[in-house]
Amino acid sequence: MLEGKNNWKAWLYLAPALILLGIFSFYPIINSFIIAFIRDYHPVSEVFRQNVENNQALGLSFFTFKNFITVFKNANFEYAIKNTLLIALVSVPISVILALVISVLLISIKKLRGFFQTLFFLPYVTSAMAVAMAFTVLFANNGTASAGISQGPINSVIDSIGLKNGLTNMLDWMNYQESGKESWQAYICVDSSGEIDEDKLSDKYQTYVNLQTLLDLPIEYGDMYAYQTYLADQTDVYNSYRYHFRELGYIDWVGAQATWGSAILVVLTYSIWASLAFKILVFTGGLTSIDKQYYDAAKIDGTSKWRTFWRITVPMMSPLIVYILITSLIGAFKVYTSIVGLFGSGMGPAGSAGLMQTFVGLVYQYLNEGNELIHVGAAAAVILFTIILIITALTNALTKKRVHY
Amino acid sequence: MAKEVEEAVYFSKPGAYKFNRFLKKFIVYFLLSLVGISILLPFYIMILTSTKNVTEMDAVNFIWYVPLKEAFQNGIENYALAYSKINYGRSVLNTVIVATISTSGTIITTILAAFAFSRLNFKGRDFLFGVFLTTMMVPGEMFIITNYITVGKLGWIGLNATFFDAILAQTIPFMTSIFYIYYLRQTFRTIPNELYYAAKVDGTTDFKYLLKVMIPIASGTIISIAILNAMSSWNAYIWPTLVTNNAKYNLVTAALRNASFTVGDTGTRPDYTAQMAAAVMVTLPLLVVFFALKKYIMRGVSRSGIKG
Repeated sequence: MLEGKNNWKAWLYLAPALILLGIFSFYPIINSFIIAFIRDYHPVSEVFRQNVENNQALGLSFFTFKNFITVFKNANFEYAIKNTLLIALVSVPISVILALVISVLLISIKKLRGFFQTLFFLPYVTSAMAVAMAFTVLFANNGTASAGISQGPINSVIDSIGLKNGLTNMLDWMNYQESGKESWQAYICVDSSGEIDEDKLSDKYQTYVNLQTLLDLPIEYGDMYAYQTYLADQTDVYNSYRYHFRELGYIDWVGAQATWGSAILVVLTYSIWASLAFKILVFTGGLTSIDKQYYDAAKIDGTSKWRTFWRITVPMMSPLIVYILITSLIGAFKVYTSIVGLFGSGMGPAGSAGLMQTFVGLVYQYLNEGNELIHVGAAAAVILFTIILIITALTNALTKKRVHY
Repeated sequence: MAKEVEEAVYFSKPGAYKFNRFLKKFIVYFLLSLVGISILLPFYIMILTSTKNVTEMDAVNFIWYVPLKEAFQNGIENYALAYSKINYGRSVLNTVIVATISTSGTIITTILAAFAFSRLNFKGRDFLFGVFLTTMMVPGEMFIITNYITVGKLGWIGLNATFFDAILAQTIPFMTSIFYIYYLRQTFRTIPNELYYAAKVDGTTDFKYLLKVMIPIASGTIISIAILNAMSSWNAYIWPTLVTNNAKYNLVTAALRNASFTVGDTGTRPDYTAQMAAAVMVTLPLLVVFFALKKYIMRGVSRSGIKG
């Protein structure tokens, strides 16, 4: 055969790419997996040898799950999971639906279609960092407390279309819910006016007494006081968020007075804004390649536009929609640079660093802390890898039956 | 067919149909313009803020428009400050050097590998390609952790790292890309086999065939890859920040983020006017490249489906 003796030549063509990939892609996958499970790993070999000797002296093996536990115990782990999940579950579906609707509209026009297509693609080709910083300005308030706080562009728009009250209430509600994450006990002891409900509190105490009796443990009377103080403290924290923006008089989205609720809304808005471009490009490409015959047939049958959309457009587009869904979900789990753009490398508004932490942010947090914690970063990356594998497998399994190829 | 149906409907109820069609069109254009405005708003705010002075930035009622003459005066001041704060000339030079080296490297390794995968027969080809595709699913953080250790062991990072080391650390790990190999292989595979056999009969070597036939035919794809790769160097933040300790070696995006813009010299309050001037300076070259090479970029992105 003509190409039969090409064997060694082919490897010669592959060599440059293979050598580079071997060092910088294939080896890292294996190595990162290994160091994620190593106790006291240190990349500089001298220190590592010292660690190895110490460990041997202590009778410890190298293999450990400790690094993973360190990740789970990270002070901002909960925020990282919560923020990442919100981006994945809120901004991804919204942007997919928006992009689909915009693409259908775009396809239906002839004049100015090219203009709009180029315009909608702009966010994709601009510097993500620069635009994220512009988003901060969009949401920021300026001025000083003494000279008067000025409204940023978004706040003045919100004010002029009469959304300020509603948004203030919504954000206060969000923060109220969020700050209550650890004080659910306090929550059930607080009545509608925010006062501690003594009856419920004593119910709670009764539960404690019952439990101690059941377990045959002594009932400490001091515990009741400690318990009440604890609940009161929790309630304070909880209530401090209750009317935060209402008392402030303006919504601080990204500044020193920003809260989790306001900051995450900025992140979600930015994520949707930035991710529309690519989706619209892919969807319009897909829509133009649907055979016109289907639409003609539907028209002759007098099918409504709505039904045509659901019965023809969506099924024909389903492989593309699934592809976009998987890549955007994976993308949502890798959000990092945009948060740095919006809030700086502190991953949160001024004064509350880590509030907007994301999963990938955790990896880089350990990496930036120097060589000592690089194996903990590897553990975080392994967790991320596992999550991405699960998402891909799940989305594939869930959509297999519904996708029309 | 559709046209006949439309005409039939049109002649049955001319007035109502015409008005309905106009209304529908109007709504469609209205909605699209609304989307367009929200896409443009951050850009407008970026430019607008870069032409304000701090007093205008602090105005209690937001100023949506700065008169041209005043904007020009403020602009000169802001842009000059931004230029020196992010060390614009130097960081652009660094970025251009890194982009040029890593893009040339990527193009060469990608073309050779894509040629082997699409045109040559060798043992284990499909298996190896399968390994490549699987690797694409692995999140970049898995690579970055070990690569950080690797470049450290190679002595390319650290306090004693020279400019040359910094360039090596930022280019060598990015001299090839599985994604671009995959993308170029797709294009190479559309070139008919007959051309290859004809060339073989004429006694052309594989390399000459690649150079004289395949590369010219796939030049569109190769240009797309080059532009997307260069743009990703411009936007790179994570790796450059990780491997450079010296502010002089910063690439533009890292320089933009790391510069501190505050009102007054010792203030803690952000000075958005100069910061947005810097943001415009970082964004503008990308937009110029985009409008000049729109065709290649949009085609490349829609076909390869990746974030540049």
